[in-house]
Amino acid sequence: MRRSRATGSDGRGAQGIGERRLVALAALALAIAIGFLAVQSLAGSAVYYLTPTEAKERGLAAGQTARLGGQVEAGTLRYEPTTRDLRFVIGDGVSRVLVIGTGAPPGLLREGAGAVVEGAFAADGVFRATQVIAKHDEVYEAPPPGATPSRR
Amino acid sequence: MSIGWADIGAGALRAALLFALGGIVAAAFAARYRDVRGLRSARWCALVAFALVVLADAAMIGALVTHDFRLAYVAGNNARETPLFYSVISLWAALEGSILLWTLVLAGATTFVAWRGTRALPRLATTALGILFAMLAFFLLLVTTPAADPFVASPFVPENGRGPNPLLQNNPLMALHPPLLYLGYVLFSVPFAYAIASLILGEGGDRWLVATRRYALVSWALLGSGIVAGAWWSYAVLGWGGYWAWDPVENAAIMPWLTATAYLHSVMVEEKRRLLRTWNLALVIATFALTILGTFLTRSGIVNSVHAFSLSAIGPLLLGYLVAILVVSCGLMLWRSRELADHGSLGAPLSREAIFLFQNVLFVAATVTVLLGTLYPLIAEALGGVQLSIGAPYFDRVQVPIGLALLFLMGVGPQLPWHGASRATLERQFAAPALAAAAGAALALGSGMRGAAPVLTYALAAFVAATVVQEVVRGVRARRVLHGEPAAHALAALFRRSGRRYGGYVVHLGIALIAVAIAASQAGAVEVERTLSPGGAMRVGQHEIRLDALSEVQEPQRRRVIADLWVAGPGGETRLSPSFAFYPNATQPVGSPGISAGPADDVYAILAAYDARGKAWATIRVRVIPLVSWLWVGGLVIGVGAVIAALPPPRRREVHLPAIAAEAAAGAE
Amino acid sequence: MTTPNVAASRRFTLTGRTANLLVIAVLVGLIVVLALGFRRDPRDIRTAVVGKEAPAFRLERLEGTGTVALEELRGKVVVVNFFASWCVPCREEHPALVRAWERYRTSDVVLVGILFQDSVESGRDFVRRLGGTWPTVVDDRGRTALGFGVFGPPETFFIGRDGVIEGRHIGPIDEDTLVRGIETLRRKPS
Repeated sequence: MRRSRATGSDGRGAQGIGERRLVALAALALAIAIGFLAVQSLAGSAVYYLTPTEAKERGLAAGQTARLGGQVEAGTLRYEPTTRDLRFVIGDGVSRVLVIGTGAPPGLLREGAGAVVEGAFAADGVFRATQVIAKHDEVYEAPPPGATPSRR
Repeated sequence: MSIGWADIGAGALRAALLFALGGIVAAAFAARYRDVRGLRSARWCALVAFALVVLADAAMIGALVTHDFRLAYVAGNNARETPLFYSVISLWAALEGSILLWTLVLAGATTFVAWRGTRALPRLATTALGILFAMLAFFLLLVTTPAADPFVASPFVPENGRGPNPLLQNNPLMALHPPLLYLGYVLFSVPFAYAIASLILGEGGDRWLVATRRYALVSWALLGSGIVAGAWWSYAVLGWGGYWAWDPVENAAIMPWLTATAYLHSVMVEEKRRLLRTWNLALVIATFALTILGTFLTRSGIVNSVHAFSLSAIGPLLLGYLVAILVVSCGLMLWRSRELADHGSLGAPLSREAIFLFQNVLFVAATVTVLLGTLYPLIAEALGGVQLSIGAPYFDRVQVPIGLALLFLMGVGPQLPWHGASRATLERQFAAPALAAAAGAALALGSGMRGAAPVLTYALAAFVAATVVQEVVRGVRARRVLHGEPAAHALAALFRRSGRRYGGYVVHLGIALIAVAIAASQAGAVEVERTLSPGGAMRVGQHEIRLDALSEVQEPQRRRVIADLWVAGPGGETRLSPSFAFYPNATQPVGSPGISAGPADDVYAILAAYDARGKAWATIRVRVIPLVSWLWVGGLVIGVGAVIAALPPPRRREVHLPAIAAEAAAGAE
Repeated sequence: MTTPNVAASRRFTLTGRTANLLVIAVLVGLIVVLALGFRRDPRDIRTAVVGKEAPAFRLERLEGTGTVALEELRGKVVVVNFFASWCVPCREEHPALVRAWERYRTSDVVLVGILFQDSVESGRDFVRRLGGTWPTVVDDRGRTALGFGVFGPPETFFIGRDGVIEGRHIGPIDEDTLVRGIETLRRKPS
């Protein structure tokens, strides 16, 4: 009885099997499209954690987003209140990278402490930071010289 | 020595565990032999266990309020200076206390089912009760093992405790959002228990689903409010100017909400068309499993999150629980797959059931993609040994199109009849909403919005709002014709008698409101950062901000550096005081934003940096964020809609009659 | 008439055998990934300070006046212990520290206790009640702990005569570990 109702006791049910299969196919297509979008976006939004040494070895392309983890080297941290120009050198004991950003540094960014900066290398080899993450350096410590940051 | 809080609490939990185990036996006995004595014992087991867990929670609050540092939990999460209010809510400030709260809610739900749920459908409900007892026993076992025992004694009594996490004692919203989430999480155990009971008993029907519809709805609404309250907390406390960062903790909360939303809709397909049975079971199981997965992810420390909970031995236990749930559920579903087969098939592409199917696919896809993004760093590390993180861009890129498609379907679905629509129906239903959508797009462009996503959001939100208004107007008109009621009376009757339907429409309005608030606040926010000396001023949009003073205040539990700002704009003038707070027992200062909320926009000021020596300058970051307040209002509207939908209709239990009559009359126009 | 439709909708109701297998495979994969996650210990990374020069500090004494600075201890084997009065394991390890200190106090070994995230009064009370006569200092708003990458107290660092961190112990330490660590450093030529 249900079966007869489902197949359309009213006139609209006569629209045919083809159209009904269309529903299933459309849903499947929808799922596949989203899956495709997800996989593609995933590849594009993965941000790798690198040490300055690794970043140099890999020859990270200018403009490619990455996170650099290291230590703010002593005597390099400068914040200019009026222009809000922030610059410091981040190093891992082997390589050093000049980081330039704009805006006030996070509360506890300081020399000798670990920091993670997100951004990309400019053509001149300077790392332009979009984000400086030091507020969680209670949990993050700079990797040892030359080591792969296999854990975080 | 006299009996302390720890003895009361730990004793109560151990006794409660015995009653929960007794409850499993009693409920199993009652279900197997249909024995009323078994049911009676199960009821009392539930009530006593609940009372004991209440006692345990009260003992913990007592210990916190009296600063009894003999307890390790109190020593670690409380200090003498902690104000009373924050002492009480420290109950859920850390892992052990949260699990204690979770156990309390679960014991309450079990008791409610035991006394109220078993009146109708005794066999199904009693079996479900046994499953609830088993879950309760698991959590009681958890809080009585060293892994998460909240009453572990401190081997010595410190002079003073460490105090709660500074972020958690900075804002009263903290009192609201975790309990709401826990209530939502835990209440979903009830539909899950009924679903499993129905599988065990081999009931092919949808009785479990009807019996737990209201639990699912209330759980969904609480989860939703918890998410909105969490976003509000993030906005008002964390001081980064946003409310959602796709942090693992946030993702853990949104995933079960997404599958629960899918479930609330596909339930209607099963009720009306007896279709999608396996699918509905799968959604209930998935939602429940996701609540456990979420707890596991955030509490085991395996994913990095700003919420950084401590690493705990509870992780493997929760993972074991998750595995047990999945094995039992999947095993039962495979075993009963014959009884679960659907008879019949979905209708035409332009029928309501087809829209529900598309909507379900989208919701599940949203869940799966959020899960993928959350776990991808783990997967990448397990497979390739590389370290990476998945940022917000991934989530935005995938979730925004899904969200827009869902917004569209939200307008279309309720306007289509079951089985399929004719051309005439389509024209009648969508003429006005299409016009509204065009108006919405024009409004967006007129108010300076650019980009496809925000403009489309405005258009689709207007589209949804128009369909809702159209439905309500037609319903009122139909009642006036049928019953001769005045308009106001007809409107009230509509909401009271067909609460599920019209409450649902109110929820849709709330979602539309939230969509607009998100679009406007994401696309239209303006941020300016300036370093000012006292007396200096800056301009952001139509607002003028002046730094009047930079001062330092010593409070009992903290030291604060406050920027005194004067803000003037179209809405008048006001003062804001963003600040940094330094707690003696914490390494990092906690920034608090100053927020002036308004219907058109919020002025959100952050003290980004200051001159620690001479107080000669301060770097102030100001964001003007349009319409963001409407996000919280939208959350409230959803809550109201959910209440309307959950309230039982007056006297007669025929829910659908007036709605059908109204529909018939509307269709006859 | 309905048979093909049922088949079509089955793809979504997960009753087909392939669909079942697929779902189970995905769930098993999920669990495996989660279980593998336990291998990740967020504490691992912090051992990165080992082998590096210890961050310099000059900190106020907990008792009395004056400061203790790391650079003044050059040439000696230094054991730095982070502790707090609210920290339960610190209490547990304290007797071991007392015994080790009694053993080495007259030699070229210095033990320095650094009070971590605690108020001065509570810290003083802790030391007075439990004893211990090695120098204790108060961390300047957690800055030294940050430099050392302290996860949480108690944590103990072994610093060689050249000022390089040679070892680190997270959690309560026992007398054996202390003696072994100290002896390794004493034997090491500088």
